[in-house]
Amino acid sequence: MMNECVLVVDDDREIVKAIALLLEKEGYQVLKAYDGMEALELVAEQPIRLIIMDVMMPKLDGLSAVMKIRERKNLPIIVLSAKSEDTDKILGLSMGADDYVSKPFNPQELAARVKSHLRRYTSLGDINAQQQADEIHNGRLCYRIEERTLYADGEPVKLTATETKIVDLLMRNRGRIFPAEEIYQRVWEEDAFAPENTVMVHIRRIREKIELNPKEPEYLKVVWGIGYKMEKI
Amino acid sequence: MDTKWRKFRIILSFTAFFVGMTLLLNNFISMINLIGSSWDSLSARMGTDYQEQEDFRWYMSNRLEELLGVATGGKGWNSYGVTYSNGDIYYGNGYYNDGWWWETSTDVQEAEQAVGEEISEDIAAYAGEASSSDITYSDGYWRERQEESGIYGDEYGYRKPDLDSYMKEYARDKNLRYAVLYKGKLLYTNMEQLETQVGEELKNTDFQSYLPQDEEYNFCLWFNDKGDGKVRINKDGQDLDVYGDGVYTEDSLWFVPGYTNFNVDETTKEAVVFIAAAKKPKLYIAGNYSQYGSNQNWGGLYSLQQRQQYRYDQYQACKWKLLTALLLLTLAFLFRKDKRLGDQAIGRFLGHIWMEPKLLLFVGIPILFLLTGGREMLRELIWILEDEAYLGIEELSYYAGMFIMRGTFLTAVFWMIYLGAVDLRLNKGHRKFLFGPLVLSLRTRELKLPVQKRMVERYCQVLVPAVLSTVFTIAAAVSYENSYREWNSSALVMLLFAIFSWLWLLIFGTWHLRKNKQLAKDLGALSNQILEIREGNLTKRLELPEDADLKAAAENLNEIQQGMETALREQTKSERMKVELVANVSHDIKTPLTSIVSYVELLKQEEELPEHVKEYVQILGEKSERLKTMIQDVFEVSKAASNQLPVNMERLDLGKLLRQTLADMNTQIEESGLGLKTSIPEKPVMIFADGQRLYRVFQNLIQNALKYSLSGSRIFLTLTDDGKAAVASIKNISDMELDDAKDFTERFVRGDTSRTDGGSGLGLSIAKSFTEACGGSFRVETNADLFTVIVEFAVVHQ
Repeated sequence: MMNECVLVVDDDREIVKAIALLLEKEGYQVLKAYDGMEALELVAEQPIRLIIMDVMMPKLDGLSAVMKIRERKNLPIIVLSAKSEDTDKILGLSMGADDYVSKPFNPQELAARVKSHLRRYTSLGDINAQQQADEIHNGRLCYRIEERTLYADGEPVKLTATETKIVDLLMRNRGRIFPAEEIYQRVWEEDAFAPENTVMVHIRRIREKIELNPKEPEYLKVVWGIGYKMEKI
Repeated sequence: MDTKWRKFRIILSFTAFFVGMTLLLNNFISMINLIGSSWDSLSARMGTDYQEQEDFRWYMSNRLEELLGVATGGKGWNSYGVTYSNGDIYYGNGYYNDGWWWETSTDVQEAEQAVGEEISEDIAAYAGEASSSDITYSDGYWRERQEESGIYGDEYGYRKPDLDSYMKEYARDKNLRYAVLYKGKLLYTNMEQLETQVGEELKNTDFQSYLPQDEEYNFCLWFNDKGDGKVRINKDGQDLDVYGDGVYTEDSLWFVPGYTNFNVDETTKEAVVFIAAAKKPKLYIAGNYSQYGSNQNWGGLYSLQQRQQYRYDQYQACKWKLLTALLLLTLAFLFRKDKRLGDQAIGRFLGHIWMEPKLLLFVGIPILFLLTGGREMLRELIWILEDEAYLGIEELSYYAGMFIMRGTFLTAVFWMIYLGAVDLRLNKGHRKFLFGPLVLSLRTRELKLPVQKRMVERYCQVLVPAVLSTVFTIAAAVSYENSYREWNSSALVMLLFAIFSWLWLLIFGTWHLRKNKQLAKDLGALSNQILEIREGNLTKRLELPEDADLKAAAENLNEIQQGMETALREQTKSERMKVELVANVSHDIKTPLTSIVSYVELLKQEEELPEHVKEYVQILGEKSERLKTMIQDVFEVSKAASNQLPVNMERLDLGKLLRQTLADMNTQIEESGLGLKTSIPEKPVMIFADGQRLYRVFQNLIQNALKYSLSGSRIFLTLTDDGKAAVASIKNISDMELDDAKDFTERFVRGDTSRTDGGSGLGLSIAKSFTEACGGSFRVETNADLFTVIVEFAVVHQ
């Protein structure tokens, strides 16, 4: 499982080196490329499992390289970009990238994302094919109803009883927005009085256990002025 | 050749049109008479036989009446069957019809002349009793002669002539043969074969056999020859139906006794009268040189016949003129294309003439016509058409004579109007005014004036003629009244001035009305344009014609608009460039920052570093994090400032949003050691905004309050909803002294200027720009140390 080969592509050699160091510490084998063409060559030659690709590069830019790679290989690609606009993210993802991390990124988060993608890609394989009746899949997350257990990247997440109840409610109703009052009533099973703080505290704790970057949650989101929801991914 | 033929055709067609129209109009009234009559009387009137005419019938009736008077010894015999005038003897005049002789004049000129000058005098002269008595008074010679002949008018007290001398004169007109019998005895006759038997009982009463054979007497009238008191008429050997259905009415042809309602008394029944009329009456002249020289026997049947001949000629002439006119007009119609070319040639010629004389000619003459003859003529025309039955041919002919003159006038009026119309149609747009330069200078002067003065001047230019016309009209009316409703010269002059004032008023009034209409339209366009500019449409320009009153204003507005457009474009451009600059800069900063963050992380993972180095690394990590946040903030605030911040608007509960924010920031608040007092209504306060952006607004505001509050003081967060506006306010006591003059929402402005407290200085700026991007209003109030931020949104109802 370890020594998986990760390709890091960026025209900034220092960044490539830093990422390589971080990932090597995590136990990955790292290949380095400094432009799109190099990346394509390496992809063709080496048994690469994941690519971290900068967008703005000489010779062949990141997004074009992603498109070319996608023509032949089905492997996770994380795009790095100094642009952080939503439109840039959407563009990157629609070009075939699996994830989008804007610069300057948190190295720990990047490592966590790499790990997450590799786990899903290698050990879980195609999610849809394996879907079972009592399982609710949502991106990196998988909730097994029978076990009342939430898995993130295939690993069980340790949740308290209340947290489990909240996860149970939200995972079963992915995409639906729940006002704090409703969550409180259904989880604590009593009338709510100023439930915002209580619910928020739990939400925050769950986030810390399931989100790669709890400050910018991808799954458990606050819909400001309305309520909370589990994003359907 | 071709052009010659073309030219010929043009001249031909136009001449045909001209002559045709002139003929048509000249005979306009006569034609109405012709066409307006019923066919029966028309054919009779148009015939040559004078015996078919109404005046002949009346003449014969009167002779019968007269001779019956003679026969029975009644008083009715002297009904002026014979009168003298100017040395001639007239037969059968003066009892009826003053005007017949107009038509005996042989041509139009004579008639016109007669209408003009001699009318009153001549009518009086031929009016029978008046004429003879006048002449008797004025001239001793004539009186003497009348005494000799014994013929007088009795109304004026003169001796009535004795019957024998009267009948002597009577017998001289051989066009009319007669025989008068009473109780079978022949009393009077002028038939040579019978004259020997006067005073005797007449055996043979076949009067026709006594008529002279060398003259043709085709009309015979018998009264009572069968002893029935009735009249029998034979014309050209055929008996006429005298009585019709036997009852006399006004429409009956013969005014003779024998109708069931028109009988004779017993004495009259003893009388028998025979009258015969010559087919071709002659003028008999008596050479009484022993008494008073030659004596022409005018009037009577000869005159009737002459009159009919003349009338016939008139009708024939009229008919031929009508036919010629129609023919010519048809010709003109067939060559109407060439005629149009002719019109154009005339139009070209007229184009060289100034408008003023043309106006005078083409408008003045018709107006003159209307003012003088037109009214009268129309009245007469209406009279004729309304009461045609009443008018005898003599009345008609009298008016016809007048109308001939009027017809000429009508023709002139028609051609004036026609030429005016041709000129109006063909010379549109390039009219030549004698007063043109004057008008031009007036307009130039007007254009120099500002628009408000122009308008005032226009009102004056209309007001002056309006006042003048009123004054002159009143003056004319007063003058007319004072001179006993006669048009004297001063009244006419006043009227003329009034007409000029009216024309002035009309011309200026129309001109200014048009101008003012245009002005009103332009004013509307101008205010619309202002509205358009207000609504942000800066590309559409207001184009007004060169001479429009508001041209200058429109131009100015267009310039303002253009200036605004340019300024706006520049502004947009510079804003975009600013955002691009910030985006590029932040991108360029982000790349090295990534390296810094990454290597700091690597440093953090080094186990062997001394403690103080680890502390440095910690600081580096914190500062690089802050740099990252700041770059993001700068980018967003610059986007928001140039309205390029994407917002995702939705309905949300502001109260809930505040509670969520507070819950989210609970830890920070607790750590700050400051008290937070909230007043948020339980019920939803729905507004329309981007929740994510609004969270950032309140997050920033609360962070700001936490950061700059006096330690131990309290922060007040309140939300009120008055049904219209949701107002959230955050109040805190500032740690630092506040500078009232400072705008805290400006970028990089902080409570203190030393910039050592760790804030980016963008908190309030972001809060403000995000609030405004969501459609809310944001304001900061400071009162001593009390710092208040108020965020306001419109409440959305269901």
